[in-house]
Amino acid sequence: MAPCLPGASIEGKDGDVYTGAMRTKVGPIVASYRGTLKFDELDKEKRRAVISARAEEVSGQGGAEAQIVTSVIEGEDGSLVVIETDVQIRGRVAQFGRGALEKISQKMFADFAKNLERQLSGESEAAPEEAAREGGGAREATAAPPSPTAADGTAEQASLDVLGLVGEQIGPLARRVGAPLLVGLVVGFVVGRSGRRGERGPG
Amino acid sequence: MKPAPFAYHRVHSVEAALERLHELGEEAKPIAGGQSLAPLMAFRLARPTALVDISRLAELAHLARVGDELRVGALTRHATVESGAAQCGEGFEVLSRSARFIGHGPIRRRGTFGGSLAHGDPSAEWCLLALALDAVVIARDRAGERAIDAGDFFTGYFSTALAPDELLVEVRFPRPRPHSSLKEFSRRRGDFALVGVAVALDLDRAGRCEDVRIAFGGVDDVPVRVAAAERLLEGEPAEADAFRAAAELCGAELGRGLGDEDGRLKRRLMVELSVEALGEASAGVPG
Repeated sequence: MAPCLPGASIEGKDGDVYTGAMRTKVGPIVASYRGTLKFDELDKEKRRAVISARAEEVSGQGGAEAQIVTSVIEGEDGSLVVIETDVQIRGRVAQFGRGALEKISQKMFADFAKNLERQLSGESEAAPEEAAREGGGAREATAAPPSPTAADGTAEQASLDVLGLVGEQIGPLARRVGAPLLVGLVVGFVVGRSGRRGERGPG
Repeated sequence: MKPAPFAYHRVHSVEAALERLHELGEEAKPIAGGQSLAPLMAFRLARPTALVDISRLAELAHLARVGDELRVGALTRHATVESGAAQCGEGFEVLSRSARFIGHGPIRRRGTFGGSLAHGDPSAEWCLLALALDAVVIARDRAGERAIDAGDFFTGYFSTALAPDELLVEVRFPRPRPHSSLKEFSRRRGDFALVGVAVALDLDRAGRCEDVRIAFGGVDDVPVRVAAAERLLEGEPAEADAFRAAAELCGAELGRGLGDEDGRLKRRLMVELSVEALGEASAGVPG
Protein backbone atom coordinates (compact mmCIF):
# COMPACT_ATOMS: atom_id res chain seq x y z
CA MET A 1 0.00 0.00 0.00
CA ALA A 2 2.82 2.33 0.69
CA PRO A 3 3.50 2.87 -2.99
CA CYS A 4 0.02 4.34 -3.25
CA LEU A 5 0.89 7.19 -0.96
CA PRO A 6 3.14 9.58 -2.81
CA GLY A 7 6.46 9.94 -1.06
CA ALA A 8 5.95 7.05 1.32
CA SER A 9 8.04 3.93 1.61
CA ILE A 10 8.21 1.00 3.95
CA GLU A 11 11.70 0.03 4.85
CA GLY A 12 11.27 -2.90 7.11
CA LYS A 13 9.15 -4.88 9.50
CA ASP A 14 9.90 -6.18 12.94
CA GLY A 15 7.02 -8.18 14.35
CA ASP A 16 4.02 -5.97 13.95
CA VAL A 17 6.04 -2.81 13.82
CA TYR A 18 6.79 -1.34 10.42
CA THR A 19 9.50 1.14 9.79
CA GLY A 20 9.23 3.56 6.98
CA ALA A 21 9.84 6.99 5.60
CA MET A 22 7.76 9.75 4.19
CA ARG A 23 8.73 12.71 2.14
CA THR A 24 6.25 15.41 1.39
CA LYS A 25 6.69 18.36 -0.84
CA VAL A 26 4.61 21.49 -0.79
CA GLY A 27 6.04 23.85 -3.32
CA PRO A 28 9.62 24.52 -2.27
CA ILE A 29 9.05 23.08 1.16
CA VAL A 30 10.08 19.55 1.80
CA ALA A 31 9.44 17.59 4.94
CA SER A 32 11.10 14.22 5.38
CA TYR A 33 10.23 11.92 8.23
CA ARG A 34 11.31 8.53 9.33
CA GLY A 35 9.56 6.46 11.90
CA THR A 36 7.54 3.47 12.89
CA LEU A 37 4.02 2.31 12.55
CA LYS A 38 2.29 -0.26 14.58
CA PHE A 39 -1.09 -1.92 14.33
CA ASP A 40 -2.61 -1.74 17.79
CA GLU A 41 -5.75 -3.38 16.60
CA LEU A 42 -6.57 -5.18 13.40
CA ASP A 43 -10.06 -6.54 13.14
CA LYS A 44 -10.56 -8.13 9.78
CA GLU A 45 -14.17 -8.97 10.47
CA LYS A 46 -15.12 -5.44 11.24
CA ARG A 47 -12.58 -4.09 8.87
CA ARG A 48 -11.27 -1.80 11.47
CA ALA A 49 -7.73 -1.01 12.38
CA VAL A 50 -6.11 1.17 14.96
CA ILE A 51 -2.62 2.23 14.14
CA SER A 52 -0.15 4.26 16.05
CA ALA A 53 2.63 6.01 14.27
CA ARG A 54 5.60 7.99 15.40
CA ALA A 55 8.16 9.75 13.30
CA GLU A 56 11.06 12.15 13.52
CA GLU A 57 12.20 14.69 11.01
CA VAL A 58 15.15 13.41 9.05
CA SER A 59 16.91 16.73 9.26
CA GLY A 60 15.63 18.79 12.07
CA GLN A 61 14.28 18.39 15.53
CA GLY A 62 10.64 18.04 14.76
CA GLY A 63 8.51 15.00 14.87
CA ALA A 64 5.02 13.72 14.87
CA GLU A 65 2.86 11.17 16.56
CA ALA A 66 -0.43 9.97 15.31
CA GLN A 67 -3.19 7.61 16.11
CA ILE A 68 -5.13 6.45 13.14
CA VAL A 69 -8.39 4.62 13.14
CA THR A 70 -9.59 3.25 9.88
CA SER A 71 -12.82 1.59 9.07
CA VAL A 72 -14.62 0.47 5.98
CA ILE A 73 -18.26 1.04 5.25
CA GLU A 74 -19.57 -1.05 2.44
CA GLY A 75 -21.81 0.48 -0.13
CA GLU A 76 -23.40 -0.46 -3.38
CA ASP A 77 -20.71 0.74 -5.67
CA GLY A 78 -17.71 0.34 -3.50
CA SER A 79 -16.39 0.75 -0.04
CA LEU A 80 -16.10 3.98 1.84
CA VAL A 81 -12.84 3.98 3.69
CA VAL A 82 -12.92 6.28 6.67
CA ILE A 83 -9.68 7.34 8.21
CA GLU A 84 -9.66 9.27 11.43
CA THR A 85 -6.38 10.68 12.51
CA ASP A 86 -5.19 12.48 15.59
CA VAL A 87 -1.89 14.02 14.84
CA GLN A 88 0.47 15.77 17.14
CA ILE A 89 3.22 17.64 15.47
CA ARG A 90 6.37 19.18 16.89
CA GLY A 91 8.99 21.41 15.36
CA ARG A 92 9.13 24.09 12.77
CA VAL A 93 6.31 22.61 10.89
CA ALA A 94 4.03 22.74 13.84
CA GLN A 95 2.55 26.15 13.65
CA PHE A 96 0.05 26.71 11.04
CA GLY A 97 -3.59 26.83 10.45
CA ARG A 98 -5.55 23.80 10.47
CA GLY A 99 -7.27 24.72 7.25
CA ALA A 100 -4.11 24.34 5.27
CA LEU A 101 -3.27 21.17 7.03
CA GLU A 102 -6.57 19.65 6.16
CA LYS A 103 -6.39 20.80 2.60
CA ILE A 104 -3.03 19.25 2.01
CA SER A 105 -3.96 16.02 3.67
CA GLN A 106 -7.11 15.88 1.59
CA LYS A 107 -5.02 16.15 -1.53
CA MET A 108 -2.69 13.45 -0.33
CA PHE A 109 -5.55 11.14 0.46
CA ALA A 110 -7.16 11.87 -2.86
CA ASP A 111 -3.93 10.87 -4.58
CA PHE A 112 -3.71 7.88 -2.37
CA ALA A 113 -7.24 6.77 -3.14
CA LYS A 114 -6.64 7.23 -6.83
CA ASN A 115 -3.46 5.20 -6.73
CA LEU A 116 -5.04 2.55 -4.60
CA GLU A 117 -7.95 2.20 -6.90
CA ARG A 118 -5.67 1.93 -9.87
CA GLN A 119 -3.60 -0.68 -8.19
CA LEU A 120 -6.56 -2.71 -7.02
CA SER A 121 -8.35 -2.66 -10.30
CA GLY A 122 -5.25 -3.95 -11.94
CA GLU A 123 -4.90 -6.72 -9.46
CA SER A 124 -6.24 -10.23 -9.36
CA GLU A 125 -9.24 -11.36 -7.42
CA ALA A 126 -9.01 -11.96 -3.78
CA ALA A 127 -11.17 -12.95 -0.92
CA PRO A 128 -13.83 -10.73 0.48
CA GLU A 129 -11.63 -10.13 3.39
CA GLU A 130 -9.50 -8.20 1.13
CA ALA A 131 -12.00 -5.54 1.15
CA ALA A 132 -11.30 -5.55 4.75
CA ARG A 133 -7.77 -5.70 3.78
CA GLU A 134 -8.20 -2.72 1.75
CA GLY A 135 -9.60 -1.06 4.65
CA GLY A 136 -6.70 -2.27 6.57
CA GLY A 137 -4.49 -1.75 3.67
CA ALA A 138 -5.78 1.64 3.18
CA ARG A 139 -4.91 2.57 6.60
CA GLU A 140 -1.78 0.81 6.17
CA ALA A 141 -1.09 2.89 3.25
CA THR A 142 -2.17 5.92 4.97
CA ALA A 143 -0.79 5.00 8.16
CA ALA A 144 1.29 2.20 7.08
CA PRO A 145 4.27 3.99 6.36
CA PRO A 146 3.98 5.02 9.88
CA SER A 147 6.17 7.78 9.20
CA PRO A 148 3.78 8.50 6.47
CA THR A 149 1.07 9.01 8.90
CA ALA A 150 3.15 11.25 10.82
CA ALA A 151 4.31 12.47 7.56
CA ASP A 152 0.81 13.30 6.65
CA GLY A 153 0.55 15.44 9.55
CA THR A 154 3.92 16.70 8.94
CA ALA A 155 3.36 17.44 5.41
CA GLU A 156 0.38 19.39 6.30
CA GLN A 157 2.25 21.08 8.91
CA ALA A 158 4.97 21.83 6.59
CA SER A 159 2.59 23.59 4.42
CA LEU A 160 1.25 25.18 7.44
CA ASP A 161 4.61 26.35 8.36
CA VAL A 162 4.96 27.76 5.06
CA LEU A 163 1.83 29.62 5.43
CA GLY A 164 2.94 30.92 8.68
CA LEU A 165 6.23 31.89 7.30
CA VAL A 166 4.88 33.61 4.42
CA GLY A 167 2.05 35.09 6.24
CA GLU A 168 3.98 36.46 9.07
CA GLN A 169 7.55 37.25 9.19
CA ILE A 170 10.23 35.69 11.18
CA GLY A 171 9.42 36.84 14.67
CA PRO A 172 6.10 35.22 15.09
CA LEU A 173 7.29 32.16 13.34
CA ALA A 174 10.10 31.68 15.72
CA ARG A 175 7.82 32.23 18.60
CA ARG A 176 5.51 29.61 17.43
CA VAL A 177 8.14 27.05 16.74
CA GLY A 178 8.13 24.16 19.07
CA ALA A 179 4.55 24.39 20.14
CA PRO A 180 2.91 21.11 19.46
CA LEU A 181 -0.03 21.17 17.20
CA LEU A 182 -2.89 18.84 17.74
CA VAL A 183 -4.95 18.08 14.79
CA GLY A 184 -7.80 15.76 14.24
CA LEU A 185 -8.58 14.70 10.75
CA VAL A 186 -11.29 12.65 9.32
CA VAL A 187 -10.88 11.62 5.78
CA GLY A 188 -13.22 9.49 3.80
CA PHE A 189 -12.90 8.24 0.30
CA VAL A 190 -14.52 5.66 -1.81
CA VAL A 191 -12.65 2.79 -3.25
CA GLY A 192 -14.37 1.55 -6.33
CA ARG A 193 -15.91 -1.82 -6.54
CA SER A 194 -12.96 -3.25 -8.29
CA GLY A 195 -11.01 -2.22 -5.31
CA ARG A 196 -12.79 -4.69 -3.15
CA ARG A 197 -11.07 -7.44 -4.94
CA GLY A 198 -7.71 -6.07 -4.31
CA GLU A 199 -4.92 -8.19 -3.12
CA ARG A 200 -2.76 -7.40 -0.33
CA GLY A 201 -0.30 -5.71 -2.49
CA PRO A 202 3.10 -4.70 -1.47
CA GLY A 203 1.79 -2.66 1.42
CA MET B 1 18.47 30.98 10.94
CA LYS B 2 20.99 29.97 8.36
CA PRO B 3 20.13 28.06 5.24
CA ALA B 4 21.34 24.54 4.62
CA PRO B 5 24.29 24.38 2.22
CA PHE B 6 23.51 24.96 -1.42
CA ALA B 7 25.35 25.56 -4.66
CA TYR B 8 25.01 28.99 -6.24
CA HIS B 9 24.96 29.59 -9.97
CA ARG B 10 24.72 33.06 -11.43
CA VAL B 11 23.53 33.18 -15.00
CA HIS B 12 23.62 35.95 -17.56
CA SER B 13 21.09 34.80 -20.11
CA VAL B 14 17.75 33.10 -20.10
CA GLU B 15 19.23 30.27 -22.15
CA ALA B 16 21.94 29.69 -19.59
CA ALA B 17 19.35 29.72 -16.82
CA LEU B 18 17.29 27.11 -18.60
CA GLU B 19 20.34 24.93 -19.20
CA ARG B 20 21.29 25.14 -15.56
CA LEU B 21 17.80 24.37 -14.32
CA HIS B 22 17.62 21.42 -16.64
CA GLU B 23 20.93 19.98 -15.61
CA LEU B 24 20.45 20.58 -11.89
CA GLY B 25 17.03 18.99 -11.75
CA GLU B 26 14.20 19.20 -9.31
CA GLU B 27 16.18 20.23 -6.26
CA ALA B 28 17.38 23.45 -7.84
CA LYS B 29 15.38 26.66 -7.66
CA PRO B 30 15.65 29.89 -9.59
CA ILE B 31 16.04 32.91 -7.37
CA ALA B 32 15.72 36.61 -8.17
CA GLY B 33 14.64 39.01 -5.44
CA GLY B 34 14.75 36.29 -2.82
CA GLN B 35 11.89 37.71 -0.80
CA SER B 36 9.96 34.46 -0.65
CA LEU B 37 12.48 31.70 -1.08
CA ALA B 38 15.24 33.14 1.08
CA PRO B 39 13.18 33.23 4.31
CA LEU B 40 11.99 29.70 3.67
CA MET B 41 15.59 28.63 3.28
CA ALA B 42 16.66 30.50 6.37
CA PHE B 43 14.14 28.50 8.35
CA ARG B 44 15.24 25.40 6.51
CA LEU B 45 11.74 24.73 5.44
CA ALA B 46 13.05 24.79 1.91
CA ARG B 47 16.41 23.17 1.24
CA PRO B 48 17.17 23.49 -2.43
CA THR B 49 20.52 21.95 -3.27
CA ALA B 50 21.23 24.68 -5.79
CA LEU B 51 20.08 28.18 -6.63
CA VAL B 52 20.16 29.65 -10.10
CA ASP B 53 20.40 33.40 -9.70
CA ILE B 54 18.49 35.03 -12.53
CA SER B 55 18.56 38.54 -11.11
CA ARG B 56 21.08 39.75 -13.75
CA LEU B 57 18.77 38.99 -16.64
CA ALA B 58 17.90 42.56 -17.60
CA GLU B 59 15.91 41.25 -20.55
CA LEU B 60 13.25 40.11 -18.08
CA ALA B 61 12.87 43.41 -16.24
CA HIS B 62 10.49 45.14 -18.62
CA LEU B 63 7.12 46.73 -18.00
CA ALA B 64 5.46 47.81 -21.22
CA ARG B 65 2.22 48.16 -23.09
CA VAL B 66 1.90 46.39 -26.40
CA GLY B 67 -1.39 47.60 -27.76
CA ASP B 68 -4.06 46.70 -25.24
CA GLU B 69 -1.80 44.21 -23.57
CA LEU B 70 0.40 44.96 -20.60
CA ARG B 71 3.54 42.87 -20.41
CA VAL B 72 5.29 42.53 -17.10
CA GLY B 73 8.70 40.91 -17.17
CA ALA B 74 9.37 38.34 -14.50
CA LEU B 75 12.11 40.45 -12.94
CA THR B 76 10.09 43.65 -12.70
CA ARG B 77 10.26 44.74 -9.07
CA HIS B 78 7.10 45.37 -7.11
CA ALA B 79 8.29 48.93 -6.54
CA THR B 80 8.63 49.47 -10.27
CA VAL B 81 4.99 48.59 -10.73
CA GLU B 82 4.06 50.72 -7.75
CA SER B 83 5.63 53.83 -9.23
CA GLY B 84 5.04 52.78 -12.82
CA ALA B 85 1.44 53.81 -13.42
CA ALA B 86 2.59 55.72 -16.49
CA GLN B 87 4.35 52.70 -17.96
CA CYS B 88 1.38 50.48 -17.21
CA GLY B 89 -0.85 52.95 -18.96
CA GLU B 90 -4.50 53.69 -18.70
CA GLY B 91 -6.70 50.94 -17.41
CA PHE B 92 -4.07 49.17 -15.33
CA GLU B 93 -4.07 51.55 -12.39
CA VAL B 94 -5.13 48.75 -10.12
CA LEU B 95 -1.65 47.22 -10.35
CA SER B 96 0.16 50.31 -9.13
CA ARG B 97 -2.44 50.94 -6.45
CA SER B 98 -2.24 47.39 -5.15
CA ALA B 99 1.54 47.19 -4.98
CA ARG B 100 1.55 49.12 -1.73
CA PHE B 101 -0.05 46.16 0.01
CA ILE B 102 3.00 44.04 -0.68
CA GLY B 103 5.25 43.75 2.35
CA HIS B 104 7.33 46.85 3.08
CA GLY B 105 9.49 49.17 1.02
CA PRO B 106 12.64 47.05 1.05
CA ILE B 107 10.65 43.98 0.09
CA ARG B 108 9.01 45.83 -2.79
CA ARG B 109 12.35 47.05 -4.07
CA ARG B 110 13.83 43.56 -4.14
CA GLY B 111 10.94 41.23 -4.73
CA THR B 112 9.89 40.54 -8.30
CA PHE B 113 6.57 40.20 -10.06
CA GLY B 114 7.42 36.84 -11.57
CA GLY B 115 8.86 35.60 -8.30
CA SER B 116 5.62 36.31 -6.52
CA LEU B 117 3.60 34.39 -9.08
CA ALA B 118 6.03 31.49 -9.23
CA HIS B 119 6.00 31.27 -5.46
CA GLY B 120 2.23 30.91 -5.64
CA ASP B 121 1.21 32.13 -2.23
CA PRO B 122 -2.58 31.88 -2.26
CA SER B 123 -2.97 35.27 -0.64
CA ALA B 124 -0.39 37.18 -2.69
CA GLU B 125 -1.62 40.33 -4.42
CA TRP B 126 -0.17 39.60 -7.86
CA CYS B 127 -1.58 36.10 -7.83
CA LEU B 128 -5.03 37.48 -7.09
CA LEU B 129 -4.81 40.17 -9.73
CA ALA B 130 -3.48 37.73 -12.29
CA LEU B 131 -6.61 35.69 -11.77
CA ALA B 132 -9.04 38.63 -11.70
CA LEU B 133 -7.55 40.28 -14.78
CA ASP B 134 -7.31 37.06 -16.82
CA ALA B 135 -3.55 37.24 -17.05
CA VAL B 136 -1.52 34.76 -19.01
CA VAL B 137 1.76 33.45 -17.65
CA ILE B 138 4.53 32.87 -20.15
CA ALA B 139 6.84 30.04 -19.20
CA ARG B 140 9.95 29.03 -21.08
CA ASP B 141 12.02 25.88 -21.10
CA ARG B 142 14.77 24.70 -23.40
CA ALA B 143 12.25 23.58 -25.98
CA GLY B 144 10.37 26.86 -26.16
CA GLU B 145 7.62 28.92 -24.65
CA ARG B 146 4.12 28.20 -23.53
CA ALA B 147 1.29 30.34 -22.24
CA ILE B 148 -0.60 29.31 -19.14
CA ASP B 149 -3.87 30.94 -18.12
CA ALA B 150 -3.77 32.28 -14.59
CA GLY B 151 -6.77 30.08 -13.86
CA ASP B 152 -4.68 26.98 -14.59
CA PHE B 153 -1.42 28.23 -13.16
CA PHE B 154 -1.93 27.81 -9.43
CA THR B 155 -2.21 24.22 -8.34
CA GLY B 156 -1.94 24.27 -4.55
CA TYR B 157 -0.12 25.91 -1.68
CA PHE B 158 3.05 27.36 -3.17
CA SER B 159 2.60 25.09 -6.13
CA THR B 160 2.18 26.06 -9.75
CA ALA B 161 1.98 24.51 -13.19
CA LEU B 162 5.65 25.36 -13.79
CA ALA B 163 7.93 22.40 -14.35
CA PRO B 164 11.22 22.36 -12.40
CA ASP B 165 13.18 23.26 -15.52
CA GLU B 166 10.77 25.95 -16.64
CA LEU B 167 11.23 29.63 -16.02
CA LEU B 168 8.43 32.14 -15.70
CA VAL B 169 9.55 34.90 -18.06
CA GLU B 170 6.58 37.22 -18.40
CA VAL B 171 3.05 37.91 -17.30
CA ARG B 172 0.59 39.36 -19.80
CA PHE B 173 -2.54 41.24 -18.89
CA PRO B 174 -4.69 41.11 -22.00
CA ARG B 175 -6.61 44.37 -21.78
CA PRO B 176 -7.15 47.48 -19.68
CA ARG B 177 -9.56 47.04 -16.84
CA PRO B 178 -10.20 50.53 -15.50
CA HIS B 179 -12.98 49.22 -13.30
CA SER B 180 -11.01 46.98 -11.03
CA SER B 181 -9.94 47.00 -7.42
CA LEU B 182 -8.05 45.01 -4.83
CA LYS B 183 -8.90 45.10 -1.15
CA GLU B 184 -7.39 43.12 1.64
CA PHE B 185 -7.21 42.80 5.36
CA SER B 186 -4.16 41.81 7.34
CA ARG B 187 -3.64 41.95 11.07
CA ARG B 188 -0.40 43.85 10.73
CA ARG B 189 0.73 46.18 8.04
CA GLY B 190 2.83 44.42 5.44
CA ASP B 191 1.72 40.94 6.37
CA PHE B 192 0.12 38.69 3.88
CA ALA B 193 -3.60 39.20 3.79
CA LEU B 194 -5.88 37.15 5.95
CA VAL B 195 -8.37 37.65 3.15
CA GLY B 196 -7.88 39.57 -0.06
CA VAL B 197 -10.23 40.15 -2.96
CA ALA B 198 -9.59 41.41 -6.46
CA VAL B 199 -12.50 42.40 -8.68
CA ALA B 200 -12.79 43.60 -12.26
CA LEU B 201 -15.83 44.54 -14.27
CA ASP B 202 -16.93 46.48 -17.31
CA LEU B 203 -19.85 48.86 -17.32
CA ASP B 204 -22.18 49.18 -20.28
CA ARG B 205 -23.78 52.48 -21.19
CA ALA B 206 -26.66 51.93 -18.86
CA GLY B 207 -24.27 51.32 -15.98
CA ARG B 208 -24.79 47.57 -15.86
CA CYS B 209 -22.02 45.14 -14.98
CA GLU B 210 -20.39 42.97 -17.61
CA ASP B 211 -17.55 40.53 -17.67
CA VAL B 212 -17.32 40.43 -13.90
CA ARG B 213 -14.40 38.80 -12.10
CA ILE B 214 -14.26 38.26 -8.36
CA ALA B 215 -11.20 36.47 -7.01
CA PHE B 216 -10.30 35.74 -3.40
CA GLY B 217 -7.02 34.98 -1.74
CA GLY B 218 -6.34 33.51 1.66
CA VAL B 219 -9.42 31.34 1.72
CA ASP B 220 -8.16 28.27 -0.10
CA ASP B 221 -4.88 26.71 -1.23
CA VAL B 222 -5.02 28.72 -4.46
CA PRO B 223 -6.61 32.04 -5.33
CA VAL B 224 -10.18 31.31 -6.32
CA ARG B 225 -12.90 32.93 -8.37
CA VAL B 226 -16.53 32.73 -7.39
CA ALA B 227 -18.29 32.06 -10.66
CA ALA B 228 -21.77 32.09 -9.14
CA ALA B 229 -21.32 35.61 -7.80
CA GLU B 230 -19.81 36.77 -11.08
CA ARG B 231 -22.86 35.48 -12.92
CA LEU B 232 -25.18 37.05 -10.41
CA LEU B 233 -23.76 40.48 -11.18
CA GLU B 234 -23.75 40.05 -14.93
CA GLY B 235 -26.22 42.53 -16.42
CA GLU B 236 -27.11 43.99 -13.02
CA PRO B 237 -26.90 47.69 -12.32
CA ALA B 238 -23.63 48.60 -10.63
CA GLU B 239 -25.27 49.49 -7.37
CA ALA B 240 -24.80 48.77 -3.72
CA ASP B 241 -27.65 46.27 -3.46
CA ALA B 242 -26.38 44.13 -6.28
CA PHE B 243 -22.84 44.27 -4.89
CA ARG B 244 -24.03 43.25 -1.45
CA ALA B 245 -25.96 40.30 -2.86
CA ALA B 246 -22.94 39.11 -4.82
CA ALA B 247 -20.68 39.58 -1.82
CA GLU B 248 -22.99 37.58 0.42
CA LEU B 249 -22.99 34.83 -2.15
CA CYS B 250 -19.19 34.80 -2.13
CA GLY B 251 -19.18 34.47 1.63
CA ALA B 252 -21.66 31.63 1.48
CA GLU B 253 -19.90 29.79 -1.35
CA LEU B 254 -16.39 29.96 -0.01
CA GLY B 255 -17.25 30.13 3.67
CA ARG B 256 -18.57 26.61 3.58
CA GLY B 257 -15.10 25.19 3.31
CA LEU B 258 -13.78 27.14 6.28
CA GLY B 259 -13.99 26.02 9.87
CA ASP B 260 -15.25 27.64 13.05
CA GLU B 261 -13.91 30.93 14.38
CA ASP B 262 -11.38 31.57 11.72
CA GLY B 263 -14.06 30.79 9.20
CA ARG B 264 -16.52 33.28 10.64
CA LEU B 265 -14.01 36.07 10.51
CA LYS B 266 -12.95 35.19 7.00
CA ARG B 267 -16.52 34.97 5.75
CA ARG B 268 -17.23 38.37 7.18
CA LEU B 269 -14.10 39.77 5.58
CA MET B 270 -14.95 38.23 2.23
CA VAL B 271 -18.32 39.90 2.24
CA GLU B 272 -17.25 43.34 3.43
CA LEU B 273 -14.09 43.50 1.35
CA SER B 274 -15.86 42.51 -1.82
CA VAL B 275 -18.62 45.06 -1.27
CA GLU B 276 -15.91 47.66 -0.89
CA ALA B 277 -13.94 46.44 -3.88
CA LEU B 278 -16.95 46.27 -6.16
CA GLY B 279 -17.94 49.77 -5.12
CA GLU B 280 -14.48 51.11 -5.80
CA ALA B 281 -14.22 49.28 -9.10
CA SER B 282 -17.53 50.58 -10.38
CA ALA B 283 -16.62 54.11 -9.41
CA GLY B 284 -13.40 53.70 -11.40
CA VAL B 285 -11.10 55.20 -8.84
CA PRO B 286 -8.52 57.46 -10.40
CA GLY B 287 -4.98 56.18 -10.46
